[in-house]
Amino acid sequence: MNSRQHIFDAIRRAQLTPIDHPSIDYSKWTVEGQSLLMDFQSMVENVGGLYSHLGQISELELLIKTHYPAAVNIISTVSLNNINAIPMDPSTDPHLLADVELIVMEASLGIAENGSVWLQDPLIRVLPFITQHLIVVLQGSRVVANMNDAYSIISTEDFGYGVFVSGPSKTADIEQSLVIGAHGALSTRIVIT
Amino acid sequence: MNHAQTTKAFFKDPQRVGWHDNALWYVRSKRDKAANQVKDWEYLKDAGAAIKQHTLAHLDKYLQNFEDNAQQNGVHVHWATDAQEHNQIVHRILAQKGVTRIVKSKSMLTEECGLNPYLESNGIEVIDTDLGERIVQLAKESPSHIVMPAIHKKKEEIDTLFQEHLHTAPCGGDPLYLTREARKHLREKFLNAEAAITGVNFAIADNGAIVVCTNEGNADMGVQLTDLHIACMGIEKVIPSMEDLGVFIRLLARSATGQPITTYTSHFIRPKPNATMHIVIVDNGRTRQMARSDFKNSLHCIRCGACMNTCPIYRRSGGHSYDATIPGPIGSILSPGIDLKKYSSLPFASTLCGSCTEVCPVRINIHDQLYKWRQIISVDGNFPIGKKVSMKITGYILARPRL
Ligand code: SF4
Repeated sequence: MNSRQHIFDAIRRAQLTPIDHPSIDYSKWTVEGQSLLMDFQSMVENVGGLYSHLGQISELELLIKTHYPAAVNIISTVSLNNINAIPMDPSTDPHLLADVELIVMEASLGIAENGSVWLQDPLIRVLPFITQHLIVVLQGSRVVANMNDAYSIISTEDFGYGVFVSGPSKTADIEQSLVIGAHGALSTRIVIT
Repeated sequence: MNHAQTTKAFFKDPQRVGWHDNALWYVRSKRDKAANQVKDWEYLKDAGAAIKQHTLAHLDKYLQNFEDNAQQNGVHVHWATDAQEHNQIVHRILAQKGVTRIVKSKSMLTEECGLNPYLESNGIEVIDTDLGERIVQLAKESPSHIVMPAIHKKKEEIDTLFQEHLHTAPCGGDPLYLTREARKHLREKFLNAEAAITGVNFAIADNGAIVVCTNEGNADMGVQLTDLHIACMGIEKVIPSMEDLGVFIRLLARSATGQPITTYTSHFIRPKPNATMHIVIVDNGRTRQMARSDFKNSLHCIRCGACMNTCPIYRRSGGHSYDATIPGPIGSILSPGIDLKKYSSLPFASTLCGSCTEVCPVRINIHDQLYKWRQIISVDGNFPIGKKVSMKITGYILARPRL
């Protein structure tokens, strides 16, 4: 008998009493009068992220020049006019991205309860991880309250890979001391437009 | 093993016991703060528990759906009844591609199966990439905690360890310096790896996704830089849908470390172009635990570690004293299910204060189950555990072949 069958037989032999999926009242977690954007900002900062609010997207270049003056190897999915970004080709060998200093990419959702942003099918999946610094551009109207709200949107979409990113990579594996910058980005900035 | 004996080494240094106790209590308090910030946290726990109960009762259906959907996504699905078969499957996949260097992110299952020594004995270099796991790997130890593998280690010890293995400068245990050095060391490993192995926090029946949560970004650094991803999971990791996932993601990090979410929550559905993805689904005693009505809901566990952080015994005895992959209160329910004779002292390593049950995000009645194991072990009140009891245990097992 093959292992798969063996496991299924053992599960069926256990004969657990059938029980319905709970009907969950998602409205229980709704916070009345919540300012999504304000809560989102305070959570982004809480998880060690940086936060900027731009009047218009054209101010992005100034922001990059101001906050990342030394960055040379830049990749951006948002078009930049006066900054020399490396053109991105999905077939690029990801190993060649090891020296990328700054990546600018767009998120389709932000989550107020945890300051995370949803990156769906990045052109090259390693981008938000391998870069030294990450900028994520998000429309302020795309912030939802919590993960339940986020998944009710995401579950209707078709994608191969997606990741919630909340702040910069971090670890507390040495005596519980929080160190920002483990294997992924050393800093993560959310730019709201 | 006998827990009263295995704690002795840890007890030799009372200062270390106090330090360990405080470190874990600090994590427990962060958990409380995070839980209090969520409106209707208790209802969130109810939802998590009810989804798990439903899923386990229909596990065959959900595993079948998961497999169908994963295969449609172009993912290879394998089944292993035990640790040995799991290790053989993983090795076969690697050997077919001639892989000799792999990076691994946190997976308690592969720890349970002894995958690292198995692969190493077959000439494959295995690098654990979670910082805590890399520390214990270099120290030739096992993780003492499921979320914070090196929680038992002092920073000065890590300093010495890194000097020896990574040739770092002495730094008095500076966490920032040591973490940066580890980042450099592991970057090189990521860039040179030929395959990545990850664990699985949740598997989604509805769309065949596997979800992996990390703070360091090590799972993705491994997977996205190699063409071969092997994900290893126990049969109990499957949940019905993405909507259900929302409930568990909200519970997991808050219960584990007091964070509102881990830095990265990655959803792997289809392999990237020109890459291959495999999922190995493992039983290794889980269906046996499922058949024990008093203990079946220990399979609801989402491995947050909250029951360890709060346990007055775990905090003062350290994870290694449990001599098992999963230590602490939940481990003391799971381990006797694997080897009752060996682990008969673990259900007694508890004050039955119920703090574990209180914090558990999926409402496992941990302390009740510890008490139930005690009743089985000490059938008619033979304390302390001695020869007579182990005879009785053997008798119990023989009388109940399904156990
Ligand atoms: S038993 Fe509950 S508290 Fe303990 S690790 Fe599992 S889910 Fe967390």
